[in-house]
Amino acid sequence: MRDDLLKFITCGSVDDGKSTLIGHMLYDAKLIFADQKRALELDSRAGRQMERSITRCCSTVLWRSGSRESQ
Amino acid sequence: MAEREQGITIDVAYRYFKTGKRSFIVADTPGHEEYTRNMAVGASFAELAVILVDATHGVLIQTKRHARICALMGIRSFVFAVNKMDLVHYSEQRFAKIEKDIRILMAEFDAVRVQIIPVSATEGDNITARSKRMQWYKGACLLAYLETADVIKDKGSEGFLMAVQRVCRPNHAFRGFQGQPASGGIAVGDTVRVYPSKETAAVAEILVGDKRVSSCEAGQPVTLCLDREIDVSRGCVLERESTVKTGAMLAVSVLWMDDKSLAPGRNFLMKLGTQTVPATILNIKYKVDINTGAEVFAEMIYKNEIAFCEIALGSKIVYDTFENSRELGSLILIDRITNMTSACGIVEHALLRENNLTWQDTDVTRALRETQLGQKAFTVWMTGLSGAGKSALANELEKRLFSMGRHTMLLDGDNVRLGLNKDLGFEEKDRIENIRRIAEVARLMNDAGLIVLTAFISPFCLDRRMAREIIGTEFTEVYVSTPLAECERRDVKGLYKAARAGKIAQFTGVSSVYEVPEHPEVVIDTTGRSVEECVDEIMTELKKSGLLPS
Amino acid sequence: MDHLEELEAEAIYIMREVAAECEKPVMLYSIGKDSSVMLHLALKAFYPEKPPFPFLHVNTTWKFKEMIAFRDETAARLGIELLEYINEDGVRQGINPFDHGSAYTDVMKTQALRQALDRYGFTAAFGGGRRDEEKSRAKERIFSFRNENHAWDPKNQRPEMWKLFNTQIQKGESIRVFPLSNWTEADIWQYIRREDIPIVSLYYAKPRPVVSRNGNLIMVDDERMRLLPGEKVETKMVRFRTLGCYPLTGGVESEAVTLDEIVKETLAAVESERTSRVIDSDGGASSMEKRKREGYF
Repeated sequence: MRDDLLKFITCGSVDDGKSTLIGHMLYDAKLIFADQKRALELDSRAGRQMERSITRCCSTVLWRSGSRESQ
Repeated sequence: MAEREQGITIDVAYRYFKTGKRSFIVADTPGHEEYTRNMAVGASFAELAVILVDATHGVLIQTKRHARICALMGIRSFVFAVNKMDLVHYSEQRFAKIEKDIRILMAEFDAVRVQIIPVSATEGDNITARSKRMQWYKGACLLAYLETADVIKDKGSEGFLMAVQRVCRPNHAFRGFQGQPASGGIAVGDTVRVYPSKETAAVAEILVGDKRVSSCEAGQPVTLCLDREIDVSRGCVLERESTVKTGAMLAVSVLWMDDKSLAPGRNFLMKLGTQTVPATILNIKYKVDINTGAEVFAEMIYKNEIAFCEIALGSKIVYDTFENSRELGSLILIDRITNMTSACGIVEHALLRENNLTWQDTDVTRALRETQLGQKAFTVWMTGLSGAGKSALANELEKRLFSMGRHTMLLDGDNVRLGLNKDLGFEEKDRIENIRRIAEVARLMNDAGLIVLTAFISPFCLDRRMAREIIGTEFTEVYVSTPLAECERRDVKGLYKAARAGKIAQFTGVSSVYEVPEHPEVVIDTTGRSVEECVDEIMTELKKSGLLPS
Repeated sequence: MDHLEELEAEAIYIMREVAAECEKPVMLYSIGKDSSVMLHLALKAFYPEKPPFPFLHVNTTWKFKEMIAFRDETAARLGIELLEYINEDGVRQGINPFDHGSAYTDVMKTQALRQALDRYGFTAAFGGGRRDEEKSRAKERIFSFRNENHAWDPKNQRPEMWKLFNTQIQKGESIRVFPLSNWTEADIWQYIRREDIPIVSLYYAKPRPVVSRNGNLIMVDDERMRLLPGEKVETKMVRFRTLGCYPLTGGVESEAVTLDEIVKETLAAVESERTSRVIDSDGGASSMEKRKREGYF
């Protein structure tokens, strides 16, 4: 049966890129409210990573690899 | 790490988003081993798990741990997001290897659906749109999969099952039973059975919220009215063609969440469905290595560990195995002092031992024995520090009762330790067992019609509460409150002196606490008073409460 | 079941558990849209019985007039037991939102709530808090435990497993219960529309006398409003996304005069609703955390 509401858990360590992944889904669903996004930005290293990758995906700027070690 | 973790709260961050097709709630939990309980909280809330695997590392021990916790908490639908595919050059071979490892891992669990998706979170591959860089992957991207995934819930019976939350009785004409059906549907006219009484009745009326309907389904907030007056209260279960059962001894898997460790013998409150009953951990069969699943011998269970235990309940409850019913097969254990939720657990199976044992009602009953002896049976439980005067009081009280023609038995600390309990030491689990046996013996003697007097330090509230629960309502707690200074001054057996000299470890009042009873029936400080005077006071209470004729 | 039905069922389950297990529950009623939804759910949860607990409004004496009128009309229409509590000490001291800033919130809201709970001896209080309101609430539990001083101790909170809520407390302790934890603002509006739940007229756009202050449109609701030098009262088409004390609540310019239009506007909104509550702008999430410890909802 497909419910209209899906509750799911995400499991992974910081290094697995979990926050980046969740951030993407939230962002792309266009319902991440502006101030929540700001809070996320300040939240953690992972948050910064998410913001950066969103910028990367959502702008047309193509990033060259190079800052991977910061992950 | 254990030190650092002390006091870390069990946090799960919940996030919300919607797409055109579905609403989502994400329970986001940290992944490290010391956060196992956090993950369990999130997993108990979720219907599906998204487990991240780093493509550069493949399946790791933590992947196994994550899958195990989710499976334990009842998740049957899994998505593995193999992340950082960009770092392995979007290699199909690399993904195939990881996919194979995941399939092998998941064969161990009861998962019904496993989807494996190659993604790159930083590059946005296969997250919200199919990636052009992995044309070899033919499945849906992560978000599209989540939007359409069917969720597998219980694989148990589809029979109707509803734990009664409360009885709705606005007036004499209406009596409805409110709850949220765990499984199955029911329609007006259907017959339901009420557990534990097993009486049956037909459904006369159904409300979903405030609307009258002819039938209802699992998950709805319903109120059911039956066609005849039968005894139903909170904690009862209404069912039709389900697999529920009743019992008071269960084999359960528990995940320990409290900072305080678990020792066998400990007593808790257990909540299962809408029932809350006292529960004792009888033993720990083994603990489960959370990473490998291996069964390991264990005497104690610490925070974030999973153990297989046997539990005895204070009374029969209605339950099912977790496999059959997520709702009537899941439980929490509540610490009786701090009220913390110490553990969560799932019912694995009934204890066969219990199935072979049924309480035999004898023709000669306790009431008949009491009548023959011309007395009412009861237990007087004396508690207090060593040297407070418990034994002297108990002895004098027994003489007084004996001379009145009462049939009595006095259980004294040392005497019991020399015989019945000579196999027990003084560590926590033995201490609990000591009190449990004494209470069981007192109850048997009460059943024989005898008046029982006990004189044990019994310093812990929980132990005394257990005794009260075993013995029942005919129980009078006498707190002999003589202060420590006075007890130490008397030091009849020279024990205080030895304890102060460090020759006795864990001596109550000196190196171990005495928990003062909260609601004793009688409080007596023997300082400067005669034994006779004190016993008079106890006799007055026993007459007042109707245990002795006045 | 659709997602609103699931959220509804969850909230009703929680309310019934509290009614069955807690000694003396109360539902906090703040007159806003979340309270309207909670009240509506409580009526459904216990039907045909009336909710087996009273409703409590902690009145700071600075609420919009339209709110108080709506409150009294609602209580009379539904026949529910509504208690109003005002911190009279604070009133005597003349505590007001213009001169006293955060002390005003503390005295007239936080202290008042504590006093009210103590006076009546309530052991559990339903509140309309939602996890999506702001980041600091994302981790909030549905059952939040407070000690005898109404303080929130992060170490003394309990894991919530499945639907097994642990409601055991010691004497003097109390619980705050948030049955709408898993609702989003969009869910609230959609549910209001679907169930046709009455809400205060302030949510609808209307020409209102307002002054612009720090980017917020503050309504001049009565003669107590103080204007800063240079501020002038203008009439603008304004509605409110959250409601509180009128001098602290910012309105938004809007043409939404029907529920459909409000819902549409909300779904399109990019600014979370709390940015329109002036009180939160100073300090953000950490100040909210602090107020929670002190007993603010």
